[in-house]
Amino acid sequence: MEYDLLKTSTEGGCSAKLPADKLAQLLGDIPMLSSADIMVDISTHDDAGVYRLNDDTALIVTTDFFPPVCSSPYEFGQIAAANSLSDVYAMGGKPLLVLNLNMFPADAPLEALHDILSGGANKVAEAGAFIMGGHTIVDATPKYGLAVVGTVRPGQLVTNDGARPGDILILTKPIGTGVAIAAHRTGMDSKECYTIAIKNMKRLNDDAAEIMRLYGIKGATDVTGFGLAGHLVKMMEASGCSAEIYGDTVPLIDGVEELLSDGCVPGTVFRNKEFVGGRISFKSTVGTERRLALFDAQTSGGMLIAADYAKAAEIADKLREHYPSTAIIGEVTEANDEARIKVL
Amino acid sequence: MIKVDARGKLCPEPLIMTKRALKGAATGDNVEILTDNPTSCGNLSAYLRELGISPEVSDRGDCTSLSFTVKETSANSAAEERAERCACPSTGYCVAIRSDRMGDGDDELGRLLLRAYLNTLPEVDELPSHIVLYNTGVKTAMEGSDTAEALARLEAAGVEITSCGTCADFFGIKDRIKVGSIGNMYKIARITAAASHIVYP
Repeated sequence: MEYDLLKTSTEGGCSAKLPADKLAQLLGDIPMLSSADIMVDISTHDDAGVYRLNDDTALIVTTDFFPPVCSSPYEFGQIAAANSLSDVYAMGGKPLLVLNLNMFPADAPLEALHDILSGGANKVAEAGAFIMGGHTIVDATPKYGLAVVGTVRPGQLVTNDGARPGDILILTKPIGTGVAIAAHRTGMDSKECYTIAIKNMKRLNDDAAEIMRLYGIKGATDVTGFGLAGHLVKMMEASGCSAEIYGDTVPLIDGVEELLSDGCVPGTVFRNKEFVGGRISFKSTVGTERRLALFDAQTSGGMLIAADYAKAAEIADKLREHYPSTAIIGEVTEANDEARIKVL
Repeated sequence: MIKVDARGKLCPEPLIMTKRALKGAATGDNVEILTDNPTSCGNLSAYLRELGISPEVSDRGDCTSLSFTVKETSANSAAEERAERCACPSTGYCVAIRSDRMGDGDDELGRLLLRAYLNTLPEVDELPSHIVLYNTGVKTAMEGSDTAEALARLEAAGVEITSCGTCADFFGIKDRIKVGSIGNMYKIARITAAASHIVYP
């Protein structure tokens, strides 16, 4: 029987994150040196750090690694790599160099480790980046991810503080990967949903980055562990704006709504809901499942893009050629006192 | 008493077991859920709140008990909820004000009629859920106009009023729109598409 990675951990993917408020608290008193060439640091909770080398090039650095999100080692490698690379794409950049970060149990079959690395290499090659080495240590639960260096032209940098009132919000992948994984782990009848989730998690955000460069997008982020609502809140706070979300247009993976209605709600949904707290409000017509879905932790999720109103429909059409679930999910508004995010 | 024994189970299994029990429950049934995992207990409480249920939580030494009585709505399955939602449109009807006049012919008369219409609208039995204003229609929401007050009354009564941003820009009156909110064409298209019917006065 093939080694089932999913049996090795109870929390996988981006849901295995330490809560954001705890992290902020413990980082508070650690001094950091600053430099005028640092274009993006941790202060805006962006996807990656950015350092200007010269007028033509800025370096993007980021890392991400997590426990298994799926049963197949090869697919886990692909997903973890796609997820790590995504942070570079979310800054409008291109990945250049990567290092493998690996933890693996001493008593697990080594073929599984080979398959994880092989899946990772497959995605790195697809991204056109180079594996420069890595590091593997023994640990009870397998974990895998990449440290990535990418480049971006300083003028094409995309940040999470770049959204402006009037912009239209576009999401490139359907949400619900956390629910799909939990259902699969619990042994619920959800094969199709799981298959769609795997396919979406493996998909690189490279084409989204290319289209963002083409249209001079300034504000975007990729949707991962804090869920769509969490990342939206962070993006709107960094940008000093609010947002209205059209609840019924947010794309959900087929079957996720039914799974949520059957009670398959991962614990991270409640953690993310608590994190967002009163910063989100729902119109009464938004159903329970749709509300919960907005807090579902995504692994290797889609790009959330703030696009200029006049070009939004065209950009969404372009994105849809590469990401069929792409949808216009709302708009950016002036900051208001009621709630950072209003779901209509 | 319906018992859900979720001891030894990790999330989301206790939630799935609870939802399954709820689906088989009738109004007035008492439900008790047992869990020995603090995280599951927190998730169960949060989940029940989400379903509009406030459970009584008590410590049983080696486990925690969450108990409640099934009310009418909490017994509904999601499928039933959906069917109910689909049976009636999520929004009511929409009034689209396409110009600052009502009808063709005399402009002065047209303005008078529109003002009378907006003043009369609160008197009809069923209020619209939305009013969208476009082209010269946005001028009716302009401060100082003789129609802004009527629109403000409708807004206070719960009618969502949306002015076309491009139109307000075109007439250079965006700062003077004091009633409702400014919307783009995505929003206007969505409102009109979701409406049960549209009234053009």
